[in-house]
Amino acid sequence: MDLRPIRNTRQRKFLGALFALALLLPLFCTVTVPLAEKFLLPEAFPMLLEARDPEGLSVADSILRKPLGVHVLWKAVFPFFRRTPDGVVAGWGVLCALGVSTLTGVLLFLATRSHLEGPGFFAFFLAALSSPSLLFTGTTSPGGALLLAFCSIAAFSLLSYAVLERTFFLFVAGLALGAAPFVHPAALYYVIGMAMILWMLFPGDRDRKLALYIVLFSPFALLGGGWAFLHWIYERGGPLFPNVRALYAIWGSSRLSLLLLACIFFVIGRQSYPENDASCRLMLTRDGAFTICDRGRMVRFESFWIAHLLILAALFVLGRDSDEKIPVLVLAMGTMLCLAAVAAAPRGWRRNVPVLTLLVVLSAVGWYELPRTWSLLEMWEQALQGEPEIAALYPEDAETAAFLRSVTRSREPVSLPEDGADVLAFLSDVSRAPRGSASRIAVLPSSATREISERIFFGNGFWKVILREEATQHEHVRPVSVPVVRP
Amino acid sequence: MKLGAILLRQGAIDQKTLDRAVEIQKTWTSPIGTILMALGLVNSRQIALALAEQFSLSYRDPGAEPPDPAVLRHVLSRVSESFLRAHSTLPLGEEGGKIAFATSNPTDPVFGGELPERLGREIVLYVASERDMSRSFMSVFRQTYIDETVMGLFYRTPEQSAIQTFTNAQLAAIFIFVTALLFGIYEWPRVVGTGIVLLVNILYLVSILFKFTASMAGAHTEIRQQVSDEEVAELKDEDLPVYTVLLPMYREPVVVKMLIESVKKLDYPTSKLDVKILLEEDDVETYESLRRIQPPAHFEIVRVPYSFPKTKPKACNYGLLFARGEFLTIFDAEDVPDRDQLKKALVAFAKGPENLACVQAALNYFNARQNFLTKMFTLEYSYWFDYMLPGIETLRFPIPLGGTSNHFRVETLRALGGWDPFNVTEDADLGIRASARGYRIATINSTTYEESNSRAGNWIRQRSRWIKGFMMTYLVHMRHPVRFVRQAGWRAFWGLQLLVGGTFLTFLINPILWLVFILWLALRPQWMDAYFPPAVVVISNMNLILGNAVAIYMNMLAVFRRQYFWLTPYALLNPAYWILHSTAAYKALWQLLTNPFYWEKTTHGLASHTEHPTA
Repeated sequence: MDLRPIRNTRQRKFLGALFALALLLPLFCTVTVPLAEKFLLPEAFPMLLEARDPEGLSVADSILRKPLGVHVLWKAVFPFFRRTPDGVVAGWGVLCALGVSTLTGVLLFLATRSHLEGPGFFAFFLAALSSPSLLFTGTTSPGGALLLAFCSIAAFSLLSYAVLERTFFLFVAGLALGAAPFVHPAALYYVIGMAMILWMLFPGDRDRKLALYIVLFSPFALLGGGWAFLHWIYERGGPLFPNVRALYAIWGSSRLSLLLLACIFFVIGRQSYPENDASCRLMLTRDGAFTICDRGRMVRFESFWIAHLLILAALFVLGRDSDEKIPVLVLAMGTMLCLAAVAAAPRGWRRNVPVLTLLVVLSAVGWYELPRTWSLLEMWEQALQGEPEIAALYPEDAETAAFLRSVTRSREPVSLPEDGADVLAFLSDVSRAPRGSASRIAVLPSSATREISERIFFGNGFWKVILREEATQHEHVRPVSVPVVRP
Repeated sequence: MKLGAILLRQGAIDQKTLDRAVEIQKTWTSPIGTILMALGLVNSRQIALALAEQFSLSYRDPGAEPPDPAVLRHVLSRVSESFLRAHSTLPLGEEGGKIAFATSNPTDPVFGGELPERLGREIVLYVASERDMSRSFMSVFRQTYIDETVMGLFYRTPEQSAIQTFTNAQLAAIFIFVTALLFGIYEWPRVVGTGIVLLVNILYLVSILFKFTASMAGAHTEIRQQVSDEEVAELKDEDLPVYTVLLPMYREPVVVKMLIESVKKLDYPTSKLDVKILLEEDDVETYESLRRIQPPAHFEIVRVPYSFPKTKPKACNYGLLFARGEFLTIFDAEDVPDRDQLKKALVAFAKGPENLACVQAALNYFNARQNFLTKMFTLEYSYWFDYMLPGIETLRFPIPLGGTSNHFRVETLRALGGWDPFNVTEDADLGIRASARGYRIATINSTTYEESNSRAGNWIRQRSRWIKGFMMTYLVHMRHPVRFVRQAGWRAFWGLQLLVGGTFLTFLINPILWLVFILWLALRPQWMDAYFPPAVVVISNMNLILGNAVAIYMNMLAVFRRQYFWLTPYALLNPAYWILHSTAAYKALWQLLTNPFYWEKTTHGLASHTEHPTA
């Protein structure tokens, strides 16, 4: 691996721009927008509903984007336009996918540019974009996209540190591992898995390993402490770490112990084999997909990749039944890591293309093998194939959105009556809201439970999510009746 | 007859010594007399006597017979003092219509033509020893040198001297600002209060982002060695220039021996080292200690005339006057530099751009394990010198020099006006001044180990001097901000704001914010909400949580380059260390107003001697 500083200014600027673009796009949606929504642009709320105007609302409009972010941005730049063009809205999701792929590609390029030529980089990029799981995650879940980005950054940075012992990579890995659980709860399990196996992947005495762990995991601890503090402040003494419940809701505590057991099994198994034992290498060929380093260090990096695969497998097995997005996410993470590893193999890009193609095929097969109980997958595939009118799919949403749009002109908190099934009311903590009256209503197309609602709004600590029946009892809420069209 | 043969005949050396010196001369290429002196085999007077015999001249000690005042006046009306100093010659008096001159270098061609021509008189030449000549110069031109070392910078560029702490314009600006602020608080308390909170938060945010960027840039250069061992090995002794090493000391008899041992271990031809131990005239104890130890002949003890202010930069300016080297560096009393540091600096100069004025070596501590304070100090220094400074260099911001182990081209240093004797962090000031005049400063991968402060009181004294110096430096360079930007550019301007201004400002503001935070946590007063509207709350919390977390996290970087892994957990204790910084900052502010030029002396020799690398 060649990680010497890039001296060519143009190259550096280009990569810097790509990196910034890749990182900022998903980050914008999950971090900047909620802040803007809360503090800077409360008047943006009616726009949210404006976007759900039934006329012209398409599947792409509904799924392939996160409407608020794009609209806030659009309105801020072009305030004189009343509506945001659909093309701009639909492009957001694709940009997310491009961003994540680019980000990982840039890291890969940085790590392997001595032997990875431009066409090899392009091949990786194409392969990443051809993978349905990566595209799906990028286009439907900014949190998932960020998780992919952060985990990829962490993996490559750790690998780079192991090879070059440059502290820079260790710190980048620490920051990525620290940030990942805050963009997607699944990352916490990835972090735990890494914590359990990393100690045996790096040489050194106790002091060195302790230093390594402090650097790698203190960002998570510090950010976690900060998050707890903020939550405590804004919830006025409410429970710390509200998302712990969400985390348990994904897998439950018993499954966590299964993950721990899997990791312990790996550690014991790994220690049973001396470093040069051939049986350890049977899992991967010397010239195979995961070998990216010289022979002297090969065993350590085999362990590195095995550890990653083990963590992903554990995530897949443990999470597939409890959250429909988890299998896709795991598939995406695995695909990303495998593609990157293959593209980085020092064999020339022509020799990598067949393996990359094979991996894309395998990824596609994995995609079609995913359980089809989840409607979003089908909707997404439909959206890729064409754009049926939203009214045909979700007439009740369209009707409700049209009504809510008129209702919320007054910016009053709104609740929905009992017969407005499948609809939740979301309102800010009125006592602390800016200007004292900001409110927001969102419409969910599927039946929602408290569990889902809390998970969906993970990370948005400034909003209280109140179920319809609770909302109607709130002193500031004015119940309204919603004409619901049922199919 | 050759000098060596004369010394042999005079019985000053034996044949074996001469053979050894001749052998060394093949690589060092210095005059045989210089080599013999550097090896401590003959003294300055013996060389002078031999030179006198070689050139059929007489030997005289100019120290024993001061120059005739009338003759001196006449000579100085035709040639300058610096001319005499450069050619190491002094008039003694008149002899038969000719002017008698003493010199330690009778081969200098100036005596054959230029000097008699400029004087309009013939001259008679006598030989004197180098030491005697130096002492005589210091005695004859004592007041001139005091003026030069103390007021030289002020005379040449008064706006860059800290002799005046606040200019009238600055006082007026501060007055107007404070008045406007008080009026604003009285009239629009919420708006102004919120504005202040917002401004402070923005300052913190920018500061932490800058540190993060610089640290990451510095970490990127971690494996890139500015100077490789191969490049050092390629240097040939015969090509090396004379290197002046200044060793300013004040009341430090305990560490004298260790300092001399450290300098003796430098990998550099001794005959090309011009080592000057700078001692204040009233420092009898260190002088006595030196006399007992008897340093080698290439160590010259220079007594700095008693004058105000009694600061290290003044002593260094005095040493600079007599520096013979093409390059110059400074080591503090307790310093232990890496053996090849001088050579690495030379390679860096050779590789660097023409406007490279100074090369800064890293500083670190040999007594890091002594106690909590030394551990925190080591973390801080490791972070600053191993990551921040290389990062600042990469980003091309001005580098505030460290107090020691900075290597200069002597010519450039003189052009810059030397050190400001009124600034108590003359090093940082010089770094900014050099940047402002378009010079570059670089870092090298060589370390000087020092003694870390192990006592809180001593630490606060030292730190308060540093922070006071930063305040002075900021005030000096902000006298004409527009002119500074025009001369140095925006990058240097922002570097000054962030590295110098931002440093002391954050130390001063920290306790206020801590108090506000504690007050809010404890009492949650309603009135406070008015000053923290939602947008400000977001930035404040981001600073509080992310800012502190990033600062602590960046500090963890410190341990990796030097593999001080055992120090990592201490990075988490930084908030306690920051309290000490703020205490020192308030002391510094008080002293800036009441006693700006007072040099808070740091006591050295508190570390266990077994921890010293030379022990």
